[in-house]
Amino acid sequence: MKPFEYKRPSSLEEACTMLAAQDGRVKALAGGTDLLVQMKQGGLELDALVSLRDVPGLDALHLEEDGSLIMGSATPLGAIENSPDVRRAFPGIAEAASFVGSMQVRSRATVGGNLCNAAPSADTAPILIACGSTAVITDGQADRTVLLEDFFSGPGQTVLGPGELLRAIVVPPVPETGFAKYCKSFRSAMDCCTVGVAVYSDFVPGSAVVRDLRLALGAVAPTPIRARAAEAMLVGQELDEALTDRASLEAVADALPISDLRASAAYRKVLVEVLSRRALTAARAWAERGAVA
Amino acid sequence: MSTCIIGKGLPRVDAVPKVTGAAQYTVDLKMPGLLVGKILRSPHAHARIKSIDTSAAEQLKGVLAVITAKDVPDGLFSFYQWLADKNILCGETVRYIGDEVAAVAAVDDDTAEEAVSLIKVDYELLPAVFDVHAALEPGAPLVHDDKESNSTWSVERLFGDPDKALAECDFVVEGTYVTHAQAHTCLETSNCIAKWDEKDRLTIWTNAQAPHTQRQEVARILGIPRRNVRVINSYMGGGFGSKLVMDVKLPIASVLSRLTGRPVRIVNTRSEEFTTGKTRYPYTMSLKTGAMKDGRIVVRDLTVIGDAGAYHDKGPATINFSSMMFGTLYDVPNIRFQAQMVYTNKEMGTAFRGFGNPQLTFATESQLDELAHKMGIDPLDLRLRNSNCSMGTTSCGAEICGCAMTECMEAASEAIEWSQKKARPSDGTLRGVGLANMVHTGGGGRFYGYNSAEAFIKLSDEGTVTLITSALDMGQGSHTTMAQIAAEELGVSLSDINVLSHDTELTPYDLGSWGSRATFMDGNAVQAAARDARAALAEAAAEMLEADPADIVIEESKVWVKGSSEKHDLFEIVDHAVNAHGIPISGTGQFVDKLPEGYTIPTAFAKNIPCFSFGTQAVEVEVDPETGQVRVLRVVAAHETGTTINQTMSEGQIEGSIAQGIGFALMERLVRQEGKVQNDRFLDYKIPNIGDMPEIETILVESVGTKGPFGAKGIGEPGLVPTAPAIANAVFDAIGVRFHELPITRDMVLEALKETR
Ligand SMILES: Cc1cc2nc3c(=O)[nH]c(=O)nc-3n(C[C@H](O)[C@H](O)[C@H](O)COP(=O)(O)OP(=O)(O)OC[C@H]3O[C@@H](n4cnc5c(N)ncnc54)[C@H](O)[C@@H]3O)c2cc1C
Repeated sequence: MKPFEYKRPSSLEEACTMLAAQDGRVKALAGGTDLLVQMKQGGLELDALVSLRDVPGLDALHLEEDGSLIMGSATPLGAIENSPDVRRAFPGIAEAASFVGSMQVRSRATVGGNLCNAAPSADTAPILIACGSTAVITDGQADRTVLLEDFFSGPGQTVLGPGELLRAIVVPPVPETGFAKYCKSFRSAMDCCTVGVAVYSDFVPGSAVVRDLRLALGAVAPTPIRARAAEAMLVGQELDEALTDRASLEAVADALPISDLRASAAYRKVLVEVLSRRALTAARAWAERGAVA
Repeated sequence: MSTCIIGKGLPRVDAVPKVTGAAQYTVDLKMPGLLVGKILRSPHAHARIKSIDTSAAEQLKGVLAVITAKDVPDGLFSFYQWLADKNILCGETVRYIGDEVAAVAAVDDDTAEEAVSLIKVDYELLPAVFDVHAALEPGAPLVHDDKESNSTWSVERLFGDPDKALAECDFVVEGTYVTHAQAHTCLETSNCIAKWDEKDRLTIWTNAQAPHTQRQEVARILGIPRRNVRVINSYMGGGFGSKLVMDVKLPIASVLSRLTGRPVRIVNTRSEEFTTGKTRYPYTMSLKTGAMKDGRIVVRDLTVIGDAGAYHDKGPATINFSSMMFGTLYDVPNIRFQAQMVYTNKEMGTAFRGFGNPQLTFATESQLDELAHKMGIDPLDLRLRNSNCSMGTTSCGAEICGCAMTECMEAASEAIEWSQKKARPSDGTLRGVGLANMVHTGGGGRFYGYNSAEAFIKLSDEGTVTLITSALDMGQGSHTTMAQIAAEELGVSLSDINVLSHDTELTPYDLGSWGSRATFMDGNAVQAAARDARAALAEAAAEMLEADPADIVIEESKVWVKGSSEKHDLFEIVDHAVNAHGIPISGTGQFVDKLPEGYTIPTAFAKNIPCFSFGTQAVEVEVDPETGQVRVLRVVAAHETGTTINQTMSEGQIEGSIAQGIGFALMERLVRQEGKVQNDRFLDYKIPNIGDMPEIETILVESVGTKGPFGAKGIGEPGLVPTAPAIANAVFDAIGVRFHELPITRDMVLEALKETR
């Protein structure tokens, strides 16, 4: 590893100023579980790392009065997984966080790092996209927001400009009639996902009729994506077995997987269908159990 | 016999230093002036080196030495010197991606890395060959152009008349089975520090499974007297066979140290470990099994093509060992084994837990199920009808003593509820049960033309027993078992024993920790040494207590005269004997495994094995028909221990073996494109983790008739041998598809399921 400068700003403004300098050969350092691996093994060479650990407020994790969830970008995934608030109000997000790496990794790895690293396989992206989350971006002076589904621009690329930081993720409240879940293949621990599928579905009370639905896919395109054609088939319809099957097949059409060491493109397509079906079936079971008020 | 210490699941003697981090591995060692060595490796699978320019590297600040082939002895090396085929550094030809070309010594990692990147090598590319079948074609590129063909080693064994038996038997099944390269994935990668002293003596700190033979190997390749080489082992983070034969980084570090006059450390990166650390030999096996109507297996006929990679290393020895196990698992009267090892332009293979036996057993035990299916006999029943039994000599001359094969089958099948397997609930999931048997050595082998071990014990006046043994602990726990054997025999407690095994200057000559041999061989020597020390102690005590030595009782660190109620502290007696009477108390012990009558290396075949260990594994799997995912739900592993020395560690060895066996069966394979390893990191090379591991029930089956210490035999490897075929058989039971290739991946399963629909 080439020598580099390690900087520890104590405010957002200072951090963003540091990130704007050095011709892009500088990056924010959160948990370092992606970044340090890339520097040690992936040949990434940087002049400086800007540590976020002394920047106040970045590890905030709380529910707003309206029920929305604010996650500071430097919140460790372990804190999200174990937060009683998140587990109660957003169990699907807590569960998705728990699928990342190992306990040791999750106590360092942050949600902001997972998203800003912008791997197509990032495990928190599909569930947060499905839940309709917003990314709060700052340049140290002012905030701007983008929908998380518009945050990614390619493998390893985001809409963040030089000198910009992801400050927080805001997840809108899930109504009592809403259900969200992330299905990951394969392992429950220490595995980069081969395919991940997340669903968010809001049902007409007392039925399995879909009022609103988002289906998000991970690791099957250059960025995490929404399966819009499948979503369109489902909204306004009663989610039964036949529709579940048809929509799951439709989701495959939305996917543009590649072949790599983890799986072939053809096999990834099979997984998109299977995991979409499993996610939708879980949603249907939840609705039919009368979980809807 | 009643024992105090043998058989107990006592905690490891090295548990505390390992857990607290006090244990020092080679990478933890600090020495004044220590330099970093790095190796420049070939980026080409096969090429001629036209020129090497090291000038830029030499000029880099912080670089103390840069070496190429011209700076190292030009002799060739291999495990068997008469098959030597590998340079320390390649001078003319590189033969696989990773072959050693040059090396540097520098003040730190970054400088060494940069220096390596500054060495310019001009290559002329040569045609390469990656597949064994292509390598055997006439006109195929020769991996070693001084050889006539890529076929490097062949073995033929014939017992009885297989052709006649095949023509006459009632049922024959045949098939071709394929396995691929599996990596050892030791937690600690291969490494060493080399340092010369003012007397021209070379000391090497490393993580060797066989320090004495590696000492000889280093001396041999460097052309220096053996007495000038000393090997010191640090704590080890796993071996599994990968640290048995000397790696060329040892002579490379030695030459760098010589030139710089400073100690030099070379440590494999994880990627180097995956791409150059050697693998399990891939086998392609064409097998026929023939049986009579009554279920008697009368003939087995096997042809193996083994993929050696670019150099011999342990290939010949591995394939020879396969032939011995092939002829021994069941007592089959007609046996033919034909095998060859074939050079390819790839990372070479080496020893790996099971030593050619897991590959072979995948073929033989899968085919046994196919035979059972064809004959309409229950697979367990077919195996029981052919079980080996104690004290027999098989058709190929294997002397089976202390055999509990039938007991293992009975125990495993009962625990998995084999008889109810047909009646299992079908709740839509595809579940299946399968089993497989195994045989392996439980005590190393006589392959060198001998098999022996020695140990020393001294009792010190300050109150410790120092045990000097060559049974080094690579993580398998042999320090603890050796301490238990010594403590039991001597009558002291485990905590009184201090085990030293790390230094060739201190320990007696030994062939090393491989072939499940340490417990049997070194354990016997330790027991003999303890017996000797005990006699010395009894004699001293008798003199002091004015009694007959035969009446002295020594137990749990107390000494007394039979019948007397006055018990003395053992170390007070030692103190008194040493300091008041000047009586030294120590013991030496040897174990020489006697060669059978008429033994010669070329003809010995299965007579090379001093004791066999049998076992059975029964597994239950679940197959997800949508994703093709196979989950192992349960493994029952019944293995012979002879006498269990340490229950917890025996179970640990079996569980760890099963983890590697599940990897071999379902996920592990080095993937190469044009000879380049694609999955050289744990992100892409998956081994089972805790979430993948099934519930494991180990059943330690004791048996009599073995000449091990207290009747024990080795248990380090057997657990890996039958896991893959047991899983393949269970998958067949679950989905009716027979896989002839490992690993059985999800897309293979899915593809196969599609075809059956
Ligand atoms: C053993 C292991 C297992 C893993 N398993 C998984 C897994 O199962 N699933 C998974 O999705 N990932 C996995 N990962 C990847 C990694 O742990 C996660 O992506 C993690 O969430 C990254 O967070 P971090 O805080 O460590 O990010 P860092 O490494 O600190 O940063 C990652 C990137 O994000 C940028 N960044 C970080 N914070 C900000 C910010 N606030 N604003 C702008 N840019 C920012 C950094 O500059 C860098 O480019 C694993 C990693 C390891 C080492």
